[in-house]
Amino acid sequence: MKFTAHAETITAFREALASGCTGVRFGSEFCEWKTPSQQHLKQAYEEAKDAGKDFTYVSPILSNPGIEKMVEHLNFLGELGGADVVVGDLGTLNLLQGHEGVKPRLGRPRVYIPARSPWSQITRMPDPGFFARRRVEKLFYQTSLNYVRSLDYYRSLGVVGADVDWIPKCFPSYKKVTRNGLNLAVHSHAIPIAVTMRCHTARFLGEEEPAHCSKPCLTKVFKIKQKELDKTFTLHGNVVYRLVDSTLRDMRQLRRMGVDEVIIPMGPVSNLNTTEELDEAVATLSGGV
Amino acid sequence: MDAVDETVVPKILAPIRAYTGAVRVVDAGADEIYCGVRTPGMEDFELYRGASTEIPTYDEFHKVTEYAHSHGVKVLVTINQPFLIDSMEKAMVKHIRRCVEAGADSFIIGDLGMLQLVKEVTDDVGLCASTYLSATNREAVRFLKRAGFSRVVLERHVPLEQIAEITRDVDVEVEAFVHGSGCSNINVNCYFYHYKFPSMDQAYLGIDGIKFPCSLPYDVYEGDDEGAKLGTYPILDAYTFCSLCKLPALIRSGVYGLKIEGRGINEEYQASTTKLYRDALDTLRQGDEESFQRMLGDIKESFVPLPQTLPMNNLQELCCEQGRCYYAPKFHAPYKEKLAWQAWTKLQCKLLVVQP
Repeated sequence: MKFTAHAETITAFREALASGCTGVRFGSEFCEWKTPSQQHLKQAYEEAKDAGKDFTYVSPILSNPGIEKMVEHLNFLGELGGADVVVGDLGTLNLLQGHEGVKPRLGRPRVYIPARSPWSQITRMPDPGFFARRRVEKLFYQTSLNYVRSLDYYRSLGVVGADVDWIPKCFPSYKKVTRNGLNLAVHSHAIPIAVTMRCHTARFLGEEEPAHCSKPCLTKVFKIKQKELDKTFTLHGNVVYRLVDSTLRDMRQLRRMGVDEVIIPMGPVSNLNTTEELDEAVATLSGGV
Repeated sequence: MDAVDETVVPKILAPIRAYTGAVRVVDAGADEIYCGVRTPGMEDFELYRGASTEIPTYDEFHKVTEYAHSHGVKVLVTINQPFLIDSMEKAMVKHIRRCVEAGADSFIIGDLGMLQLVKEVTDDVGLCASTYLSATNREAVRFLKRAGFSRVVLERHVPLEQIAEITRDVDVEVEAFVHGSGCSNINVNCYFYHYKFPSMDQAYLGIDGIKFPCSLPYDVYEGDDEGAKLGTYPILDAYTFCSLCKLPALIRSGVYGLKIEGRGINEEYQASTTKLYRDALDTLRQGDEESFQRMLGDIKESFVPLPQTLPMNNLQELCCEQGRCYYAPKFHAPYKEKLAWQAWTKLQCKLLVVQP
């Protein structure tokens, strides 16, 4: 199993490089205002190469100004010699059509999984009965990549892989995707259940405008609890997460499903910030494999 | 302001969920209408929109298209499941065929696999990219055009000036949402599924109806420490509702269609909102911005989104004072007015009660 650390800042990235992770990811998965500078991208790419680690660039859903910046970054990566790029936006996928050497992977915003939902109730029917429940469950734990036409279409665009979540009931559906030739990477620790371009954290903290946001989310998360719904979530910038535990049994099952990469997020959501913390997380996750 | 060229006046797209509603919005001045049609075999699996927001039978849908077409109004059908899997395909193929036979002019499609399927089943309909495909920039719109769409519905969070850039740069029909629930989160990247769960209906405020988890108040704690409670806020609430004031700018943006949200809301709301935008657009069409501004003032004071038992008296209180404008700054913070958010939450619940 390959363990890849995902860092949003150059400082965290360097911690990841020093860890036992076989791969490193750099960039923002959900917020375009945290897209790294070109200078940091160059540093990250070169340092990863020097360290002999697989380098992947991560990109989020983008606005018009964001896509302009992405054009520069993709050209830059192309000139440097290529890399895998996690695509959160169809616009980025469009830009990649002319790029040799830069290979797209679908990011989590581009893969739909109904079971990301935090609710355990999966049908509107109050008392569905065994067979109806099974029928709905069959759909609920699938992904948008479990449709052969979708998969073929993405592959025709050069997509080589996709990111999915640590939802054990969905693991059997991942098998079909990997069997059809798409590499899957599974994110540990947290499942995104809501992403916005009207940042909840920025609004809460009184930030004035996106371009001048002080990016408090680089170090801060909020736990938010809704009493009547009896749910607790983690708010990190413009994303609401639900946290998940990863067990060794899950790890074994993932391997059986043909998944060979686990993404470990760094930062305040996972509370993994240093090389040592990352190594400990890898040791815990890989204990049974 | 000079009279506006007819060719650049945007179309009004109105939502419906029944034949009677279609008659009302067409009579109120809709240029196009959009709706869902219940898909046999798929009723139990509802993610974003329940079956109650859809036209129940193909026969009723056929009546809708007949009425609409006799008034020169196009009918778009949402088959925008956010995803499709192999075992759903057979039911979807039948559904697509039945809708085409019943007179659908276009399909609104939310998944690229579904697009491939529709193209295989029929070449006789328009293809419109749903907001589920999260088009938020010009390259994404170019991608969707290349994929075969003739029209793209932009994600609700795209700012006005960027809409203008997109329509200028990409030769494709572009729709923008203008009225009704402007989601707090990116549509297809939100898994709160507020339409789905009866238990949620009863969970809060004692109001029968549908709740938005993003409108509810949350206890907010800093970091992982549950001891450090900062307060209770509707911290996820970024709802927008209206864009009447921005109509002149929307016309100038070159947008093809103005979309009114609300398939699940009652017919009175659907018709009165359509008429509101029809009157405003017609005034602007004549180039009379002064009359439009006067009209706007009257509307804000007098227009009451139905039903009239709402806790707010008019559009001014409902939207303007809370900054619930579709094109307000992204980091606007309406929830900091405590009373306002409580009323707003109640309003959302009331508005979306599905009529028997």
